[in-house]
Amino acid sequence: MTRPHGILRAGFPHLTTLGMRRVTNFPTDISFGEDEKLYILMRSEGVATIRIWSVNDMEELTDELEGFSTYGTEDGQFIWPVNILTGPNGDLFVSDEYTNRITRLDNEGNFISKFGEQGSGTGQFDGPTGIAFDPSGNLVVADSKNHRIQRYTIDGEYLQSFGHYGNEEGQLNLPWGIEVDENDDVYVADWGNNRVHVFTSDGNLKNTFGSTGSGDAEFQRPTGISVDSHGDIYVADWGNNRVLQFNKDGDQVWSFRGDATLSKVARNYMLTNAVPNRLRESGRLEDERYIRRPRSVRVDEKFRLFIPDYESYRVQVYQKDFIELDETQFAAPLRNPTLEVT
Amino acid sequence: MKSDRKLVAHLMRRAGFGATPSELDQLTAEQTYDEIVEDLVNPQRFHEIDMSYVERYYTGEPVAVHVGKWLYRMANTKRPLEEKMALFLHHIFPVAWGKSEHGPSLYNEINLFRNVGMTNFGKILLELSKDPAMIFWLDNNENHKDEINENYGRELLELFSMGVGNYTEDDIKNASRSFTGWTFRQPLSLYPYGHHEAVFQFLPEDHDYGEKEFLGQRGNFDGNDIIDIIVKQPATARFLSRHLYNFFVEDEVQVPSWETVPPKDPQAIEELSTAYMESGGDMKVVLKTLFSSEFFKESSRRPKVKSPTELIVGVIRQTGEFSKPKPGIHEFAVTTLNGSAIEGPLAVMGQRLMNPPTVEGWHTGFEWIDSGTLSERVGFVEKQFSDPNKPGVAEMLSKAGTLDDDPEQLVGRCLDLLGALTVSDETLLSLNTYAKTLSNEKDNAGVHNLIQMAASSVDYQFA
Repeated sequence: MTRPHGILRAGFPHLTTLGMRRVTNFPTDISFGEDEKLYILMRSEGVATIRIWSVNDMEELTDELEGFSTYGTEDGQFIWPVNILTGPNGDLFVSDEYTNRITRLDNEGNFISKFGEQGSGTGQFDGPTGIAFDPSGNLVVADSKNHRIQRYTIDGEYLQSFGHYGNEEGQLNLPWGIEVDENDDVYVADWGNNRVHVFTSDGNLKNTFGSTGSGDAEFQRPTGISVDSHGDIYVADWGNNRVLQFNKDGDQVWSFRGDATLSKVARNYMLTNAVPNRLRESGRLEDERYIRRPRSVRVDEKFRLFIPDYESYRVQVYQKDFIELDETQFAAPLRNPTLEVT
Repeated sequence: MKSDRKLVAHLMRRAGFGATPSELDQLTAEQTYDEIVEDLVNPQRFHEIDMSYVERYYTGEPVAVHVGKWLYRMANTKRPLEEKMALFLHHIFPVAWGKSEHGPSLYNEINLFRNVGMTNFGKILLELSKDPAMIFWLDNNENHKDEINENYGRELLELFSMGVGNYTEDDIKNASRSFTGWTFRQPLSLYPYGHHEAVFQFLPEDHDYGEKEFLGQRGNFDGNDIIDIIVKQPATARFLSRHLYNFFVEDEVQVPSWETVPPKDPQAIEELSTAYMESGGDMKVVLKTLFSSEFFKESSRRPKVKSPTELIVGVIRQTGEFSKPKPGIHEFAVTTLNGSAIEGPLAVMGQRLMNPPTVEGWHTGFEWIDSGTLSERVGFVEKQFSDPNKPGVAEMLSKAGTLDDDPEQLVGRCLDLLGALTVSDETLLSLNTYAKTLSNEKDNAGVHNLIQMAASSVDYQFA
């Protein structure tokens, strides 16, 4: 798919809110299956599991929940999972920064394979966090505590490594999220340096943006990162409780602070809970809408933006509204700002 | 050496959670005792721990997760006295998770203690009075101008500042009237989207603006005025000083006996009280007075049983097991988070952090010890030192060296590596007897046994 010449940004409204406490606790990351199916990776201390959920949410709370994987170090188990990806055949790939391995499961949760071990050599990890597929179907991994990026075949054969510790341009400090676009450019959420680095496929720095703070284009520990097919970049800004959107050049476009509504499942649950309903009436309900401590952000082929709202046990979904523009509809970039805006 | 190794080790056990061999090497080589005290009471000289890194790993709703984060912080802080003061304030202003089951409020309260613990006692009491966890714990949210609830007013005077015998029932009533309307905004319910923080709120329409008489003074007092009056009382200075003495210097009798049993060292209480009164309740001044005093320097010879928290944090600092985040630190509080709650060593030893038994807090000193808790304590230490691959244990083994035909020297080195530990003659004899059985060749297993034996001694249970 080639990127359009430009886009007319019509808005980015909140679409829906999914899940609630007990069923989607501490959503760390999310991946997409067929038929509007979502795989929600849930992680907290002592808990690691994958919940199967639907974009249509659930009518009412039930104990018959679909999901798989448990907390542990056996094959198919996880301790500190970070990212989940859907790959060929609908298989799922999960990184685990404690066991230092990438695990492949089928879409029913059956263990297929794994690779990785503790260390700083080739084929080794120290806290693998972000994972992404490149255009050739290889896996690119943020090897966080080794402060580097590694590339592997889908079967775990080592291909490439670049990056090292530091805060100079091109260096990394505990990178977390990673994304690869259709040009094989590698986007890294440089967690410790509060910035995004964009590398070419051979590891040369191509672009960088962001700095420490809470204003525009500033981060407090960026975690997840995604890129849509327009080249727009979404970064989960953990400490500032928001997601920032940038255009392909790294200029900030939008920010998402949260617009949660009651999910379908939450609505039905609350109908039978009188006291919490009274508390909601007495409290500052506005607080409920905001994103808390996001660790990931994902965008699907329909330009729906999924924000796993980590400390609020839910997923907030937005819909990008746009019209693609050709050269006659979108002027060339301006070198200077102008006041002639009529 | 610029300072005495045993004295500095004593200081770091009491003002913090103990020093590792490397830390003791550095401190004694580079700083005088007075310079170390000056650093301790000025924590802003050292970097605060990066909590974003800690919370990257330790997350979850159960209170055990919050306890785990605090334990990690205690074990790794570069500001040991700041963290020890948070623990001290948790001891004397105890609030239990069990009443509200609202984890964020409990965790925020500990953060509050850390932030104000080394400021001024008036500020500490003021912030405590505005703390939602405390307000709910002692029912000040039910203290209305037309229906007074005296719970907070009573405990503020009885347990938090002056002690029994220094105020009247009328003082309690008027203090309570002064705190009417001090409440918190209703936080949202746990369902459907998790806990939200509680925030202090003053409701002027629910405050009693009438005239009150308190400790002999008359006026239209509110909570600020009450605290201003309290902190200027010599009784407050004496009460706080005795708490500090009990926590940092020597085990005292339990608080309910303070009205009738005099302090073990009245002169020490007088020195601390004078520092308090002359500084207007400046905690840095009082703490500096305490750690610089002769009674503190000599107190290593007086009994001071480690609290379970001091014991556990001291051990994990020495083993180095949690010098970086790794799973399982919450297991010191509970051993599982999946539904059932099996008590961890902290609880078995008698101290559920963030969940004390009563408003009086924990009974300390020898009341920590019974046959069950002593067995748990010794077993815990022995187990924690059993893995020679833990970084701290490996460092000890590396530094301990070999027998070299001198068992007493080897024992001396092992005791030094455990924080310049002083042991009884009986313990020393046992350790020397065992050391004589070792080979002159490199006998890591034997030296490891020796370290475990020393750490498992009764002497190690004292701060």
